[in-house]
Amino acid sequence: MNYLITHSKKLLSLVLVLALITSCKDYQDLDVEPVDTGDANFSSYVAVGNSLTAGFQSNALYEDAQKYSFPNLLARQLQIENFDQPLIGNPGIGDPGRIELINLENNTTQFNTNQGQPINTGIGQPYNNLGVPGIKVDAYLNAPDDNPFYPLIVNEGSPQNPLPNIHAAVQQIQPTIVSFWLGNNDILTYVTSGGLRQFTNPSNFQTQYVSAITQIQNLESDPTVITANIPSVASIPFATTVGPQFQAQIQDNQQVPGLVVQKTFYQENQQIGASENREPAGLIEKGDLDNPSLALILLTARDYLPYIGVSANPQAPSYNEDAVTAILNYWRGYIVNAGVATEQEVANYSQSEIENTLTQMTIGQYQQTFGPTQAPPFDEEECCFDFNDRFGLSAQNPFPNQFVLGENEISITNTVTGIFNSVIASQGDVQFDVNSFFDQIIQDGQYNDPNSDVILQPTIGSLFSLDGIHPSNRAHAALTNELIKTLNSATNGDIDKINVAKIPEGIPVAN
Amino acid sequence: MRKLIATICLVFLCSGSAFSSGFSIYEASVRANGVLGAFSAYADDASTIFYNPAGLGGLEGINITGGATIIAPRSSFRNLSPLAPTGQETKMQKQEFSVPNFYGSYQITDNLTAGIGVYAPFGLGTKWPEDWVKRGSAIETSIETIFVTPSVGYEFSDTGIGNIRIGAGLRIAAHGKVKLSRAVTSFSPEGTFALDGDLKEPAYGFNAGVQYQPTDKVTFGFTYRSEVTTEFEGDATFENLSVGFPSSAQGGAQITMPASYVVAVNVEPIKGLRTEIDYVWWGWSSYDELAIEFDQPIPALGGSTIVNERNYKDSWQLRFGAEYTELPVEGLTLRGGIAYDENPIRDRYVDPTLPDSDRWLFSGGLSYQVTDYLAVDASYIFIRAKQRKVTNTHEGGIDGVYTTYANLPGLGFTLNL
Repeated sequence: MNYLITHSKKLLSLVLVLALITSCKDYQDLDVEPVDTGDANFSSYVAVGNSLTAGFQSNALYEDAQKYSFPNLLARQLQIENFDQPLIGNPGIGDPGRIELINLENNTTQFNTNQGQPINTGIGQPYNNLGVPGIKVDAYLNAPDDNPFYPLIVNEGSPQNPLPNIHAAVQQIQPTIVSFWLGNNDILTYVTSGGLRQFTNPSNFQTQYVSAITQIQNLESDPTVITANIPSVASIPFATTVGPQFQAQIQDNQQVPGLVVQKTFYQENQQIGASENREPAGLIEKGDLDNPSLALILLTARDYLPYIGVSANPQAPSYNEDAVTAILNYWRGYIVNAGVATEQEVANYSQSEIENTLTQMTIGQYQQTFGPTQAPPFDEEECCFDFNDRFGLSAQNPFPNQFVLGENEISITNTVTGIFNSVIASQGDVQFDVNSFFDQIIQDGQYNDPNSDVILQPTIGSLFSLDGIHPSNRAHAALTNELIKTLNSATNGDIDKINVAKIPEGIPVAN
Repeated sequence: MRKLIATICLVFLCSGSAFSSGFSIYEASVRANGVLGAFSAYADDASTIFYNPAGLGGLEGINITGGATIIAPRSSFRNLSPLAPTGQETKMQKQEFSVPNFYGSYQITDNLTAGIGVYAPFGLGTKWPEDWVKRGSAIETSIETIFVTPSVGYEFSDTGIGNIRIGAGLRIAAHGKVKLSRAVTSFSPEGTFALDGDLKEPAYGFNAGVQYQPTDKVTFGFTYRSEVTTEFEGDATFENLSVGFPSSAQGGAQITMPASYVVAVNVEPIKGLRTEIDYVWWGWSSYDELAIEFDQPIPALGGSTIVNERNYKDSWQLRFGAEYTELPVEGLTLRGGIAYDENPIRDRYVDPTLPDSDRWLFSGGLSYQVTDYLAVDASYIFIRAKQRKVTNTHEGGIDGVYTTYANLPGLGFTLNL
């Protein structure tokens, strides 16, 4: 019996020891497998860019979106411990504010004009995410004068001490990898203004781009430079959403043949196809409204489309007082922006004073561009602006140019984007072809995440945030995966991709 | 008796937290805790109502036993997802749960004994910081249940082949609460969804068991416990969520408490030493999803149901315990145990509502006979869950490493009249 006691004790001890050995590994250390970046050193990362790099969404820069910016997501996948972004508290900074959903059933939105405050100022060194919303390529070496984001993002410890340029910040960090995604705004301001604002002169663009990349490549840290190109205008819902919607709305209305749109342009753009523009307004036919190479009705047009056909003549059956007020106020703003009269002056303008001023402005602009005899802006029978004519359906009361890219403007945009992209393709160590990535999504009609069952549509609220220009949280994750794919193949690395399903949608709502 | 149950229910309100695999709680008696629940063949007190109702058949006179086990689980999570820096640690908030139990039995005839037990066989309690990385899956989750089980046991003695006992009981889920809250990260600003539900009506199941004692020194036991399908109902609240959500709603969920069975053998190799090994099987595959149904369509959900996939698999436990009475101090009994508990959650479906993992359990316990009638029971269990690294988790999960351990002290009494 003693024999049995001795052995059962031994057996019990053995079981206990085995159990303790298997269960008492060191639980405090986490052995994270190091990320495989192949031939390259990606330990210190700086992202240079505009709103797309900053994580700007729904017309504002705010923390909930910045967390999912593609540079931040890439830094996480690269296991970089300290990747600092200039976070702005919700609802962020935007002009006039963040766009928020107020109703999920009909997707109506409004601006939240509250402004957020910076969260992590004074970190003692420049931020790693140097994406500054609104900047063009030239801002890399020359600080923009009037960009409200610049001092918040490119500074040395506080917004009171902005650095002279973005390169000064990059120089301080001495990164081993830089993503450089600038150039979009060099053409995008032309697009979003319906062709009223200028794009960057292509030869200036080339000079500015090349000198920026050269400066980065000359850094002591000898970074790998990723240059990302510009997506085509037809891939942003800002330009493609409204046209087909408007088309569907007027499809069966025989009274509305399409949209008569005002044509104006800047002198500098004259050499590219200006001769087609020698008339003050032109008809975009109903059937062309969903063709992104013939017409793009911008998201900003949405508020004015319901007024199509409205006459300012109180006797007319299509008279609508609210619509007329909105249309007259639009043109008042147009006159002020052109510097022809002050806000106080136009506020007192009667309908006919507005009509006369617009007529004179148009005549002046045409004479200045084509010479006094080349292009009469109005023919004699249909002289002048006349708001008693039907809005958007006649040359005398055209739909504002600011809200539409016509065939000619689209072709200018595509040509200029192509020139810019060929400059970008010739620079840097790794080329990130965002243009093809988005074009492919447009062609397929959707994006399928290979790491989950998430499908993103190229529409507002799915692949795009509520402004129709900037990618959503999940689109940033998809973009990060595409960049990782590019990096892996360029450096023979094996950086893990992101499961897009795990990224919260984070759609801004008005609460 | 009615009053007694009501009183006990009040005491039980504070119970919660799982500490066996899934959200089962096997700590249903302080004496049994000492041998880590390896008790289905031996079962020498009224808590046999839980472990094996057949054991009632051998119980003499009046037996009353009760007590409480404190469960103090500690978990931490280290992030491997893109939502936060790699390796970032979050500690689950410290919570202690008291899980009481009470059993009484009365010998009606020589061979027939009846009894009733009140205990908490299922529960769960986890609470993560409100701003933690996976707040979208879970902030606070708790399930509480109280079962009342009237039972009878009968002993066939002098059968010629040894003693045979049989027993059965009605398992009534008499009280239950579920509570869950999580952040809604689909929107900015984020909101919080919470559901606070109670058991809609009592739910029923049964247990049945047999014990066979061929000699004084060997007992075999078998217990089966059926599934109990419970329905919870209560208020759903949507905090800081005005777009796409109603201001309030009623929500309900059905949770099936799984079936289980036990095969046990108890041996007395030397005088005063009883050793037992129990194999426990759990039918967790019945828990395939947690669906919360609302009383109205909720636009933000695109419907009136939230479904969380669970897809548990069946699991098992091996429990080994020993009890020794031949000690120099009269009236003292010492116990010890060791167990291995396989968790039912597949890697892909591990989520922070229940950071489960395979685990080792170690226990010690004692009873001291204060008077002829009264014994005081104490036990201590330490649980070390295997560090669990999960990757490629489903939508509600998060890639990372969970580390869990728990301490479970218990104190109780046993009366033999």
